[in-house]
Amino acid sequence: MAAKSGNWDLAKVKGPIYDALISKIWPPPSIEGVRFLYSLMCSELLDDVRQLAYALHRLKKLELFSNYFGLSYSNDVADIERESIEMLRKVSRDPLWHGKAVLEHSLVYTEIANRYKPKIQGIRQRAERLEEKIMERLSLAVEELAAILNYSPHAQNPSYIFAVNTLKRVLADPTLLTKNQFVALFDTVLNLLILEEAEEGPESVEEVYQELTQKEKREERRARLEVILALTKRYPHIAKYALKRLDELRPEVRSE
Amino acid sequence: MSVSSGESILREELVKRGHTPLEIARFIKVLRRDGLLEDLLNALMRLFVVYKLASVVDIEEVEDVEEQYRMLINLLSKMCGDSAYVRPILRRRVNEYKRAVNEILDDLNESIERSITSGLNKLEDIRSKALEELAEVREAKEVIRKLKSIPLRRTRSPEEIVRNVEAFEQLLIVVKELEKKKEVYERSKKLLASIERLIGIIEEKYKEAELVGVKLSYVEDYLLAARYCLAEHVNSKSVPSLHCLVNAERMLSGVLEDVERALKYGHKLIELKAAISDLKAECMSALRRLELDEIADLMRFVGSELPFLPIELVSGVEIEKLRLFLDVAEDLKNGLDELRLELSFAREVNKESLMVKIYPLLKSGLSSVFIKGLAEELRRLRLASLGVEDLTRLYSVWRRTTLDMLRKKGRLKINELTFIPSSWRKRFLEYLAEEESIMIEGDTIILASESLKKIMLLKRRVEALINLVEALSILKSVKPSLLDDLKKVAERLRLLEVSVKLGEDKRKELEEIEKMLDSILISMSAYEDVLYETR
Repeated sequence: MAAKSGNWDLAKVKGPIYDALISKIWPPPSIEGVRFLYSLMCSELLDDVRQLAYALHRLKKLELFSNYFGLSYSNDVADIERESIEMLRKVSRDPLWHGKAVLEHSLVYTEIANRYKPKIQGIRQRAERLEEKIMERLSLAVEELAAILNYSPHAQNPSYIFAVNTLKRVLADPTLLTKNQFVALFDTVLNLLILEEAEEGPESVEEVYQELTQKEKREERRARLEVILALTKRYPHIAKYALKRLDELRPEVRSE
Repeated sequence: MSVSSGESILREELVKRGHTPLEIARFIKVLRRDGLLEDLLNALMRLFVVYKLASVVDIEEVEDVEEQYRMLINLLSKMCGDSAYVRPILRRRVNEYKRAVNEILDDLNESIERSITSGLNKLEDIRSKALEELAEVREAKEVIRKLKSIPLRRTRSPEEIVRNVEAFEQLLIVVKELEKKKEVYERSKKLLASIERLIGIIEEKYKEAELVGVKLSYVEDYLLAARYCLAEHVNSKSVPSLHCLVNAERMLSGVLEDVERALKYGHKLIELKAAISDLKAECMSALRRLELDEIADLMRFVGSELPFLPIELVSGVEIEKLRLFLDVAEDLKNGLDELRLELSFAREVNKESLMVKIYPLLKSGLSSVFIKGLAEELRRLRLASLGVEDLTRLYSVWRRTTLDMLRKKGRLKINELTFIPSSWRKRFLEYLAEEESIMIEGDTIILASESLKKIMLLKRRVEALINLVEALSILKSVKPSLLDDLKKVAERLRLLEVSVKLGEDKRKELEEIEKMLDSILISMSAYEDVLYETR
């Protein structure tokens, strides 16, 4: 057994926490990362770090999916990721670990846990809040996409309707959908439209968007308009239907 | 310890009994003159050894010693106050006293000797027990060496015994501390064994779960940390940290629970999925028997909400989701079972009421897992009902579109079927291949007309022949022209299959190719005869 001989095939070392966070601090092959993972286990921080890694995993998936809707959360997600790695780097560099035979000092572990548990949980909560925000936007985007495409001649196309509905459903839990499955659904929605020629450009949509957002004061409604603009920028061939959707929204726009 | 210290003990004892220093000094002088003092002081010194030993270990014989000592002191006190002994003129009872003192001293010395032997034996026991106890404690090496070096039995002089006992006593304090560490070692040994066992079980179950289609990738992090924990403690020279081991064991037990749960759910899910697909097939055939093809087509989508296996779970939190899927699958299975029973006895079914029954089956996944907290209720219902109505047409639309495209192009790549979600394309094509004459070659679909089928068959035969001739040419000197001919046929076939519908000229070409192949085969069979003969 590797453990008994102490020989580690560092090329084979892996795991979500190790891959997503620790390997960013100590690029493999390095036994330091494994040692740190072990210290996290001793200090009972491993569960918290796992939850954080899981939150990051979900965020990255959502980020990928939101790209398909023309929404970009890359910076926010990257921030959270950077912050998580920085926090772990801080934990690993804590002077408490160093200069002591850590094995003998259970108090060191307790102290480390007390010191960093709340901070790691704080980052996780922030990640979850961002996740909620992205999910909200994505739901809005699917809704708007459905509304926009209602103006297209394909609105009654069964495969398209089925795909839109499935998209809505899977958004409740995007982690269970692989990228390929998501893309397949999305392609079904948009491929029919790609065949059409674009009559209007996204510029005209942006004009109407500017006009409406200036008047609109409600946050939720502004988000809706933003989503429509993002979708049009990503898929210019839906511009003419997006304009119709904006016209539909126009009477509801109000400044308060 | 010296003779004078024995004398001072005697003085103290006599003072306690109310004798004046002058009386005591005179008494001691008389004792010396009578030759009693030296034996007395010797006994007192050895008595000191007994007390020293008794302070370290329990000695039963001490009670006798104490009693005899009390008797001796009482006698000495009596002698000290008795002028018939101390006064030089009188000295009538000297012999009597001498005899009494010697008698008690003999007894006392005997008891003392027994006590010392018993005490030393007990110390010896303690030593061997300590040596045994500390054998596994890494830090105890020095103490063990010192313990072994103390000569308990060989020494006889009281001073030496006392010195050794004192040194032994000092060491015992250290031994007691080390014995506490021994408990830690023992516990750590148990914990390490338990961790190793847990790692083994988890690895096994984890692999099993992966085979079932549930990959719990986060387990790898725990296994990695636990393996390092084992390596660290096995190689470490210091006292193991119980805190770390207890923590590792607790975490691994949690992970094992998770893995077992995931494994159970995975097995159950596979079972249910298989049962659902069987029931679906039964329901579909029953529906087709009742000539309700449209609804039969719809049945294909029942259960499409269930997760695709293999599934990767990056956190234990997700295992709970699997359980939710199990509930959905269970409902679905029960619903399908009811439907199957109803359909198997039915001769005629009301389409409307059947739809009412199938509708919840199609929605079961959505209502319990996905739809929660999504769009508002009315909108959801409207969209869902739209979806169901269209689903009945979905398969037929896909089939029509695919066949149209095939007729136009002759052949299609699977990924050209963009209007079908990619995960369903393969399954859809399998269904289609059952119904329609299409051929699937790798990732290409071909509409199989009669002539195309013929070409495919010929192509396969020619390919096989080329392989055979190549193999033969290694064994025997085959006419190179034979292989060339075959390659020519293959080339002509390749050119021919580009178009689907064969015109008159192409048909002639195909006939020619067939003839060529026949003639090649005739010469081949001649070769076969030659081969058989030479064997």
